[in-house]
Amino acid sequence: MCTTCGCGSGETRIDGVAHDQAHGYTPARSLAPGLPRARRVSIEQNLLAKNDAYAGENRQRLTAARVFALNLVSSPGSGKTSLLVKTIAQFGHRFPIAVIEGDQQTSQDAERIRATGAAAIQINTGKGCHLDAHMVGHAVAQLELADHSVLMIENVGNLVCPAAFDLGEAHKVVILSVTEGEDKPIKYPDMFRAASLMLLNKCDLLPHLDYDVDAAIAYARQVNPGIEVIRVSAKSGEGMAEWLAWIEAGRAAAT
Amino acid sequence: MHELSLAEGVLQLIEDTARTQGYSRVTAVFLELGEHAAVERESLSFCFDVVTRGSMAEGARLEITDLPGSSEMRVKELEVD
Ligand SMILES: Nc1nc2c(ncn2[C@@H]2O[C@H](COP(=O)(O)OP(=O)(O)OP(=O)(O)O)[C@@H](O)[C@H]2O)c(=O)[nH]1
Ligand SMILES: [Mg+2]
Ligand SMILES: [Zn+2]
Repeated sequence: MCTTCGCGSGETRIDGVAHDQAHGYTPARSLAPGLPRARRVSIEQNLLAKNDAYAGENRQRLTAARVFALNLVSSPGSGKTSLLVKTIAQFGHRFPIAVIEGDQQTSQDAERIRATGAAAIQINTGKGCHLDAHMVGHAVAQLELADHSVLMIENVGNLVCPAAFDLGEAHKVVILSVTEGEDKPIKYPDMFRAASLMLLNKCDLLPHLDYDVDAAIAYARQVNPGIEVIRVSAKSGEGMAEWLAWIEAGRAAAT
Repeated sequence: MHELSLAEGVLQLIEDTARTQGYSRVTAVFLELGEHAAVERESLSFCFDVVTRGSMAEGARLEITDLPGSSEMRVKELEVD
């Protein structure tokens, strides 16, 4: 059972198997010593620290296998899965790509990935609004990742909570689609602050919109001056070469 | 931010600890909340009341102390029966 990460673990499923049945995990507790006062129980546990401990384990494991892991975060429907399908179709022959899909319900996204031939594991978070490092650790163990491969973790569509949960990834990549409005980076700054790269998706739609790309990028840099930006379209393939170059540079740094 | 799931985490901790410490009711929970923990105090209290309904901590008092400069949310102590 996971008290960890506040993930609504009672309903969490990894490839359809109930999370708390999938393993015999008992949370580590440190019960402070000292004189037990009458009817008082001392606990001393930082509920937020447990995720970081799991994330550290994941990072160690991924780094040891020289796996370059990315945590893809965005609001629902920005095109995360579409971008992954396109990425695998275009670059899957260059390096192995495995995917962990996070959604509250259904395994539709994992099925979309498996249809490309890539390995995918679906995590269903039930009530949970984000992936946490503990769930991802189990998914990583099931994936049998190849050395020097790329692991894409598609987080639950949510522009708020996933920002606070380290999964052990090398980078968070935030996807913002041009139909969402230019101002999202300043309305949800935590997410854009946590990300190393922003993929501005659905750029094929720009001719039909009043979207101000420069304003969106300026807002993103207002909250995170160092954030890199690539304009892409999962539909037309625009920007995919730049995205590949960014991944290749990251892989090189990881190996 | 995700106060509901954090409240569930507190309850889970209470129930797990009950197994080793042998109590059947919790009447108060003492918690320290860091200023940078990104947790809304009011929302956490509200969620705690909701998730503890029907549990061994139903009706328990949640006492939250602010921790300036910290990003932790630390469960310190329980008052139990
Ligand atoms: N025009 C256009 N549509 C796109 C693009 N990328 C994704 N879409 C469409 O946007 C919708 C959502 O795409 P998904 O790939 O499912 O988005 P997602 O971020 O994975 O969604 P969730 O997993 O539900 O959060 C689908 O109807 C896609 O066809 C794009 O580059 N251009
Ligand atoms: Mg998706
Ligand atoms: Zn959350």
